[in-house]
Amino acid sequence: MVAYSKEFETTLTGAWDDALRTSPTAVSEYRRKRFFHCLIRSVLWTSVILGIYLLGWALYETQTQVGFHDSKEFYRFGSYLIVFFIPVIVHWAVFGSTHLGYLRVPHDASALRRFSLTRFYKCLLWITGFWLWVFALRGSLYANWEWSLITSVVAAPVMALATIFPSVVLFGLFGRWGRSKLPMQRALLQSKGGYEAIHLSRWQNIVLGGWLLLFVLGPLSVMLFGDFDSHLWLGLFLDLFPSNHIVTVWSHSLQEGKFVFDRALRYVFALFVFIPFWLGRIRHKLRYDDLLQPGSNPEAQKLVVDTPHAPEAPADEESVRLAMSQEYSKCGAWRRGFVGQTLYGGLGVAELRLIDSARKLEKGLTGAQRFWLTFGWGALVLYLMAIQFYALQFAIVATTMLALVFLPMVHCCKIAALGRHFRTGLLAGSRTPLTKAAVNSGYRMCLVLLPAYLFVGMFMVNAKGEVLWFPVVGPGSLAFIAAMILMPMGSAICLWLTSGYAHPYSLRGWAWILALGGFWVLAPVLVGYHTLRVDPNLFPIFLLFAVGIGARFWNWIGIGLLQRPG
Amino acid sequence: MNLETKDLTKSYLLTKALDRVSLKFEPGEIICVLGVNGAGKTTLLNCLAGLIVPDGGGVLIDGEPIKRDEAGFRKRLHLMPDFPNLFPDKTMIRNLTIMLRTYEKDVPGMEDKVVKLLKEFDLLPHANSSMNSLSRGQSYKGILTGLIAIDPELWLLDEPFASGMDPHGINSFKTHAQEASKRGRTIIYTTQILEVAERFSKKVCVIHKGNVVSFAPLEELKANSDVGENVLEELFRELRSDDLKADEMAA
Repeated sequence: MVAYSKEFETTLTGAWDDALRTSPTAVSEYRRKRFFHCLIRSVLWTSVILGIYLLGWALYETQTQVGFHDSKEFYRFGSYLIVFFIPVIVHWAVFGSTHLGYLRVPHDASALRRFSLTRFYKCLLWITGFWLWVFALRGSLYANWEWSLITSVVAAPVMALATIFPSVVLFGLFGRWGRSKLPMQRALLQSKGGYEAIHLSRWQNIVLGGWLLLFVLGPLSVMLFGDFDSHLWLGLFLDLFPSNHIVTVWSHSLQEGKFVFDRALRYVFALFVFIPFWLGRIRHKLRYDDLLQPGSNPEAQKLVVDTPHAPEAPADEESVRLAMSQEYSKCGAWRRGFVGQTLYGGLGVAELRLIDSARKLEKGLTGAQRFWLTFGWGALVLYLMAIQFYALQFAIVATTMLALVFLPMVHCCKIAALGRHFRTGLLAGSRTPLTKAAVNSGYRMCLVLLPAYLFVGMFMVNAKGEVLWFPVVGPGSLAFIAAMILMPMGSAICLWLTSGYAHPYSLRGWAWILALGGFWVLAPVLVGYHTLRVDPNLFPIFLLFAVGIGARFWNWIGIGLLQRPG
Repeated sequence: MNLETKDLTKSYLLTKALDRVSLKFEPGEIICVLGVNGAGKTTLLNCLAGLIVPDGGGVLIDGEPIKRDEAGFRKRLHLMPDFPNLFPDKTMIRNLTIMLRTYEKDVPGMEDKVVKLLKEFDLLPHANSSMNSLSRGQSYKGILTGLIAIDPELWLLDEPFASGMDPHGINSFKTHAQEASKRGRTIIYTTQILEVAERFSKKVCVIHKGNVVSFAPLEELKANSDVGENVLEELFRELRSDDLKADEMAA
């Protein structure tokens, strides 16, 4: 019987494994207990966030003399808050580790392929049904039943395919879920009894859950409450949802007898950012963290250590030789494409692979890598130009490029910096937790925050309910661009700082931390203040910006404290 | 490797760990760094390894100032802290493999060399054990095995004789270090055990309050001293006496 405990919660991978091996009923019981625990936790967290929100508003009220409950913005901001945070928290707390956290994957290659295909079809069906439902109901509200039917039948499969298309393409290009399992991974799966649990981290759950709920809650709200102009609070709640715009555009356009794809396309292209991202994360977890590094979680390690195991047989000469050559081959097996590696968050914690990456990068980037980096920067520049001139179609193309190229590019830089840092750190004898911390912070920052910025920016609406596509001028764009540029830069500075140049225990180290940390704390405060003063609608950007920077800052400190004099 | 420090200075707030230290290490030397606790021995090793940025002066390798973030430089040395940096949750084999791969020494034939070393250090049966299941001495010997297998140009060891190694391990280490020195490797280590320093080192560097009190071959020190064999013991006695006098004067 598996008892629920805080420790157990943090050691899900190992515990799940053990529990499933011993007793499936134990898992059911664990889930049930966890559900209630998480429900309470989500309510508490929701209360905390709402409390902070209300407090913030009270402060804002004193500045602007805007009546608390009379303010339209109060509800608008509240809707943003609910849209972005509450579902995410609830998802994380309630569903995070009981649903998607546990995908059972068969070990056999052909079974795995069938499993992947089944999942793909199920996914396609589910999304088609979802869109059918949305379009049908929405169409019935805004148009007559004929238009509703046409919209549903035509639009739903198209949207479903569009939704899933990027993932399919990217999987095909870079992964091939069912076919690219390495023999070693299969062996590991087999050694673990033919199944494996995928445990998503908290951050992955937040992103994944946020994404899913946003697109479930949005259309649901549209369906229920319709035109947002006539329902202030709920309308404000809804006006952020892209599906609302899409449905509106589709419905109205069909009624007018023409297709206007612009807004729908925005949504489709937005998917390029997220779908590959979260699928990639799942895949990454499937492939590396749990397979190659079983029990890599230090907490899980403790659990594993506490679990009685059969004593290891003493090694002999042959087994040592064999083990060494196998360890080397683990390195050598890492031959996937660089972009694929980065796109799917291939920056695993497996040290050997990191060393290989570092070694590769030390020897200089290959032509392909240079191409991607250049292309990525080019895309970024084009993108910024596009939003500056408000050239919508141009921006759509640039967005695609950005999604496909910029994030991998940032990740490339991450690998370069971290890999180098890791290797030189090892060579010098610095502590390993430092590297692990840097790795964790690095990919979280890049893969979670940047898409978040992109996403928020894409669906920003102004006070009139118009979609801005991007806040073109003013402090909002300043905040956004600052986030885009400064966040990776901050990460790089962090790495630089912790790579031994300025030792945290030295006066210089602390001076750096305080100076840069001061900047990172002051920057969001100033930007946020200015943003709220000039255009309160840009509040979500500021919020993400501030949260991201805050996380970054604390990560710094954490990393700094982890480093000890060699 | 020609290693040199020029006016190396390092302070920790008000404490001066190294004060304009200028030393020159020749290839093939085994140098013992001696000093009381807090004298600056570990700081010197860390500066030589490029782990610490000196406040003043610098470290030169073959006449060139070191570039701390350059893997090429790092690969020429290995620092063994008193508690070695290892991956505690990984097996000894994996730790060794990581070391070898980091130093790009995962060459054909290395497996045999490692097996031989593991046998020599009585570690072969524990090769598949995770490091955190081993004793401190075994862990140290495991990482030492990696160092010997890598055989960098500069060996930096912080208190290797207080690492928990058994007498056989210590003897093996000494043998390998002496052989490495014959191959031109520079070995710099710290210790508090004067007998070891006298028997094992060709040259002694005594640091006191961040200053180099003595940096000379042991034979030279003995020849220039009245006390002969007990030269190091006498030197530390004098330093202690000077400290006490200075304290009295200050009071």
